[in-house]
Amino acid sequence: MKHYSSLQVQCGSNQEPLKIRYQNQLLQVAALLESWQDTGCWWAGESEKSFYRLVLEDQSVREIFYDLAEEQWYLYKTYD
Amino acid sequence: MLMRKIVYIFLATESIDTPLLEACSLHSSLVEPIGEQELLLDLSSFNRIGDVLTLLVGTVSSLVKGKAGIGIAVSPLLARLAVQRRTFTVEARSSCRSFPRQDIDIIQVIPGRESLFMSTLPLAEFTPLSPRECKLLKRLGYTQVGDLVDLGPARLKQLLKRDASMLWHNIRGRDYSPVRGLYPPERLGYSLSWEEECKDYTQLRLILKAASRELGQLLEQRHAGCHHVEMHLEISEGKSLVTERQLSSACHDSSRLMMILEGLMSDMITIPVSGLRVFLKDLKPVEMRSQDLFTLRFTYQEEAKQQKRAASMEQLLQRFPGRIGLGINIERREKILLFWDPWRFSPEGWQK
Repeated sequence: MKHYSSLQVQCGSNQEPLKIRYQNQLLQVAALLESWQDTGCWWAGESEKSFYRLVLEDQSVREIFYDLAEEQWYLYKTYD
Repeated sequence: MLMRKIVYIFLATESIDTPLLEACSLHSSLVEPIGEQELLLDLSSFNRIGDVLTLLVGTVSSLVKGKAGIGIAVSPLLARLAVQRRTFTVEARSSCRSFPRQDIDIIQVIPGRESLFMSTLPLAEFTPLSPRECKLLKRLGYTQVGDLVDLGPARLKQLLKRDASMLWHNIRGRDYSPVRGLYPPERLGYSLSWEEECKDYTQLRLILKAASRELGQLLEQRHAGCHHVEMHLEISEGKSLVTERQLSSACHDSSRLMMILEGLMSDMITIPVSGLRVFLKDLKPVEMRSQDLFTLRFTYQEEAKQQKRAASMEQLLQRFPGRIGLGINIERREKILLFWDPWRFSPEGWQK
């Protein structure tokens, strides 16, 4: 599996991200576009993940995920 | 200037076959079969041709059963006319030597008496004139080639309605046409001599151009390319300078041949030259295919790239079996997302 950058994420009561800290920048989530569950290649030992596609306050669109086994947030993808 | 010694062989009742060509090619690298029954041979490289001629006559008489004629002169035209001439006046006889031997008539136009030989030739036997031109000139009262000498090239051109410069030379017994080396088939030759020594590069370039055009046409006719070019430049006292070049890729057209010959000549240009011989050796057939007008060029390039890539991949797979794949490795997650996530739909995405 690829290496992803870890994030610090502040979540709301429904466990959805509200703010993310990435490269010493704290960014507010402007909109949640999509979320989905990813079981991954469980037969190969990969853990389950929750994915979120967000619009942040700087108008960037990013995909982040929460690794349920590691209990850690990661940045998955940034759209140009 | 080196005097040319051209031999013309004519077989009256049979065609020229390989043993005779082989025998002739032992004596000269410039052997030019013309049609079925005629053959030209350039023996200019010999100072004295008596011994060679004796051998040659012996070969012809042993190989040929019917009648044959051998003409010897300083040019192909004169050698041919000597054999084909039917009427010999007393004056004409003084310009020739005849050596009849069984079924072979050997006639030599004595060097220096070419114009006398030609002037007494009946117009009907003068082959550079077409039958129509011959008829026209006879109607005007000209019966012998010598009668045309007073006309001059301009008047001849006016009468015959064509360029008469070459004809004008022929009328005075001059012929500069080369003997081409067409035998053996894996070699081509071209030879040309001129009256005065020349070291003017522009003039030599024109001669090279004529040689490359002639040889280029022969290569085209044979669908062949040569891998070796040899050039002989005749300098004073019968000596010649030889340069040669081995080609990395086959040459099959006159423009490239011209460049090669220019390159070979550039080293020797300071010396006055009186003759040129070019030999194209190591001839091999050129693979011909029609031009594809319907496929874009980049398709070919893409195909070539793919083939190269596949070949490299094959080598790597043999070296590292099961450990190498071609292309970008897309994660399984992305492959799955491509099915349902509209953000990942793209022309490239669909193709994947």
